[in-house]
Amino acid sequence: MNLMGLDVAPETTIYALFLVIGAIFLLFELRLLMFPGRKGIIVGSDDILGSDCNSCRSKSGGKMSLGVTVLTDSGKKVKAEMSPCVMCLNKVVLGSRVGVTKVGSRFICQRIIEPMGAPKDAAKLPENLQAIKDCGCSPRPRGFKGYIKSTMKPSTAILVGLLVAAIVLIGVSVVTGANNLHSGLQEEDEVYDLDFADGSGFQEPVLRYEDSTSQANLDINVQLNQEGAGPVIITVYEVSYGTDGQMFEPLGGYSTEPMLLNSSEFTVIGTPVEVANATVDLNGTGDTANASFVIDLEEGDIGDHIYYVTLTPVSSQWTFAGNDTTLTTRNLVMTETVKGEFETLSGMDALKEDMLNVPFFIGFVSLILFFAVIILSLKGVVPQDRLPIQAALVLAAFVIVLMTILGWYLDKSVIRISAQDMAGMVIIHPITALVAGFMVAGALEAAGAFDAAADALNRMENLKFGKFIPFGVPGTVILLVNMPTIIAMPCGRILAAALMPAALYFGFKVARQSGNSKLVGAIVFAFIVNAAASCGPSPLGGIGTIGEGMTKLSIGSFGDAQQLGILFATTVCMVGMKFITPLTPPVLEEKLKKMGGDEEEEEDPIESKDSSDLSGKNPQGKEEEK
Amino acid sequence: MTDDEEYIEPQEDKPKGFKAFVAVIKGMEKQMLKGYLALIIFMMVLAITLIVKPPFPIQFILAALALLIMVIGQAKIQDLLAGVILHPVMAMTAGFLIAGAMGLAGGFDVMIYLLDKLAALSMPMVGIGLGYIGIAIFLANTPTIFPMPCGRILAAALIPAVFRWGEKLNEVYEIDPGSTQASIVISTLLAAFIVNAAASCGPSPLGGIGGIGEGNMGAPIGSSGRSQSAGIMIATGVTALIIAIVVQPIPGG
Repeated sequence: MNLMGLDVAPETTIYALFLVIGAIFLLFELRLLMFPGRKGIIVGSDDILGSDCNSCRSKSGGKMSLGVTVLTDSGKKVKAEMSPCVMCLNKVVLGSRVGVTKVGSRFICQRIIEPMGAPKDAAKLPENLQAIKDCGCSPRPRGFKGYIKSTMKPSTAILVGLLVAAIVLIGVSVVTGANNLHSGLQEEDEVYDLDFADGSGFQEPVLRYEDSTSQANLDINVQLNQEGAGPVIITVYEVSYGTDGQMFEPLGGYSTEPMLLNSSEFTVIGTPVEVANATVDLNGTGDTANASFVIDLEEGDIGDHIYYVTLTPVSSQWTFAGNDTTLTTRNLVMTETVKGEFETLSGMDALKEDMLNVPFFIGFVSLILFFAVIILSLKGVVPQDRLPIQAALVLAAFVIVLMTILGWYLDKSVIRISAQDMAGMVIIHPITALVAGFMVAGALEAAGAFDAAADALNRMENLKFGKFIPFGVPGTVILLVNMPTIIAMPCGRILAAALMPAALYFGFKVARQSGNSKLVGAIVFAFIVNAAASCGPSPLGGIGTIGEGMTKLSIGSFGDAQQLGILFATTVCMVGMKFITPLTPPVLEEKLKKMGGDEEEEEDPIESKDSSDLSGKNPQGKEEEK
Repeated sequence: MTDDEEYIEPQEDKPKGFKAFVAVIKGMEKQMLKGYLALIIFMMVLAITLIVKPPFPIQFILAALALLIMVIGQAKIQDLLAGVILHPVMAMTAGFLIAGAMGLAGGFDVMIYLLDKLAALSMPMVGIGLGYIGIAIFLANTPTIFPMPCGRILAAALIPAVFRWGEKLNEVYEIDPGSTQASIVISTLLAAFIVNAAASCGPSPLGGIGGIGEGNMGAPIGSSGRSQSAGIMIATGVTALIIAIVVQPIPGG
C-alpha cells in the first residue's frame, strides 16, 4: 500500500490507525482527568455503596457502568456514569472529588488531577451525608501519617512487624551471603583446565562465564616441538558477549561445561573481537613460554562470554636449524593452556559494587519506583483526588526515562533512550487490540447486547420442549457463571457489572430451591472469579495477547489452556464458598427463610427486585415464577 | 359452586415449535431484538475468527464488528466513544508504558538478578531453598499473592520479567534457547502468570471485582477472597500443565 509516498504494509496501516485511535482515547481521557466539563463531589449513588465504602452494588443490569450523582461546584446535581474500574482503582467513595464530562448523550464521571487540592469554593458534602461518610468505613485520613494511624491496630502492627522482620532477615542473608550463597551455575574461583597437548594444531578453547562481576584469567602455555626460534603472538578473541551480542553458535549445542571445539564444530557469526594479545619467544625443541591475561567482563553484561585463542608465528623473524625449514602447526602446541577463574564478589561486597554501578542503580530505582507508585496509590498514601494512579504511572514512566538520560551523562554504558526507543516502548499489538476490544464492548453495550444476554439467560431457564427441560436452573447457572469466559471482554468488570443482577437473581433462586443460603455466595463469587479471569484469554486485547505477542505466537494460543484453567478456578471457588468459607450475611439469610416459609403469601422484595432488574426491563421471570 | 369444587381455568393454546419462536420474537421490544442480534453476530464473528484464523490482524475484524454492531444498534459514534472513555484506558495502557521504560532502564535485569540470588538462597539449618522452579511458581502466583484491583497493570509491567525468567530456566536446565522445548518452557510460565494476573482482580481487597459481589451481598470486604484465590491458584497450575503437555505452542506454528 502506498501511503504518502511510502510503501507501507496493510497490517502496518491498520496498526497505525489503531495507535492513532488509541492516542485519541488517551488524549480524551487526559482531558477528562485535567479539564472535565464540570468538577464536583459524589453525593449520591444509584448503585454503589455496600456495607462499606470499598464495595459497590449494582442494581441496574445490562450496563458496564455504575450510576452516581455529582454535586458540581456550581451547585447543580448531575446524574453520571462511572466505570467500576475507576471506583476501585481510584478509591471513589461518597464525597470524592470527581469530574463530569458529557460525551454524546452520557455524562461520564472520572477522577481528576488537582495537585494543589480542591479550590476553596469547591462543592462540600452536605451535613446529612457527612454522617454517612464518617460511618467508620470511609477511607483513612489522607497521606502517609493517615495511613500509619489507620493501620496501626495492635494485631496488624504485630503481623506487619513479623513480615518486615522476615523480609529484613532474608535480605540480610542475601546481601551478606550468609547462607552459602552462590550464583546460579557457577562456583567461585572455579578453574577450568583444557588440555591441548594432543598435538592437533590450532584449536580453539572456549570458556563460559556467567556473572557481570567476573574476571576471566587466561593463563596460556605454549610449547615448541621442533628446532627453530622466533616469536609467536598469542591472541584472545571474544566471540560472544552476553545474551544480546550472540556471535557464536556451537553446532552441537551449548553446554554449561567448558567446551573444547574444533573450528568445524562451531560457526562464528559476525566478527570476533580481539580482547588481548601478547608475544612470546620460543627457542628450540621443548621450549615453553607463558602469557597471562586478565580480562574484565563488561559491567552489567550478564550472560555468556566465550573466547578463543590463536597462535600466530611472526614468520619473518623466525630462524630454523637442521631439517626444519618452516614452522608447522603440529609443532606449535598449547599445553595446559587455558584457565578461566571466576572472581565473583558475593554478599555485601557484590551489592556495594552493583549499587555503585550506574546502570544497575538506575534499574534498581526504576523497579522500586514502579512498585512504590502502585502500592502507595492503592493504599491511599498518594491521594487519588490529587494524582490518580493512571496519571501517576505515566508520570513514573517519564521519570524513569529522565533517569536514564541523566544516567547516560554519568556512565556511557547506560542506554540513552532515543526517540526510536521511545517508540519501541509502545507494545503495539496488545495496545491496539485493547483499543479495538473496548470499541466492540462499547458498541455491544450501546446496542443493548448485555441486556439481551441477561434476558437470554432468563429465557433459557424457562425453556421447555414438552416435558424435556434442556437447561433449567442448574444448566442456566452453569452457563451464567461461565458466560464471562465464553464471551470474554477485554476487562472482566464489563460483564461483572452488566450481569451481576442476573448472578444474584439466580443465586437466590438456587438457594431457595435447595433451601441452602450458602449457595448465593457460591454462585455469585464463582461468577466473579470467572469474570475477573476472563480478560486473560480474551481475544479482544486481553492480557493473554501480551504474552502471545511477546513469544511470537498466534492470537489465542494461550486461550484454550487459560479457559480450561478458569473453569477449574470457577468450580474450586464455588466449592470453597459452599464448604470452606461460606458467606451468607444475616440479613439475606433472614430473607431467604421468609422466602422459603411463606412464599405464596408474601412477595419478597429482593426476589421481586432482582427478577425485574435481571435484564433491566423484562419482568417476565417474575411473572412466570409467581 | 362451592369453594371445594374443582374448576379448570380456561387456558390459551400456547404456540409450539417455530411458531413459539416467532411469537417470542414478536413479543420482544425492538431494542432487545437489536441487542440479541448484536450479541449473536459478535459471538459468531469471534468463533469464526478463532477457528479460521484470518490472515489479517484481529484489530481490523474488531473494528468492522464494532461498526456493524453500531449500525444494528443504531448507536451514534458518541455512544461508542462514551463506552470506551468510560473506562480508565490510560491505567491499562500505562502498564505497557512503564514496562517499556523499566526494560530500557534495566529494571528487569535487576529483578532477574535479585530473583537469581533468591533462587540460590538456602534456609539455615534445613539447607533447602526455593530454587529456580520454586521462584517460577512464586512468580506465576505473585499477582494473587499481592492482588491489585486491576490485574492488567501488574501483568503488562511484569510480563517481560516473567519472560526473562523463562529464559533463565532454559539456561539453568541446559535447554537450547532456539529449541521448541525452550519456547514451551517460556509459554508455560507466561500463560500461567497471565491467567493468574487476569484473575487476581477478583479477590483483591483493594477494590477488586469481588467488591461488587460483596457489596451486593452486604458482606465484609475480602470475605470471598480465600475461595477465589484457591481457585485461581488451581487455574494457574492447570493452565501451565495444559500448555506444557497438550497445547505446546510453537512460534509460527
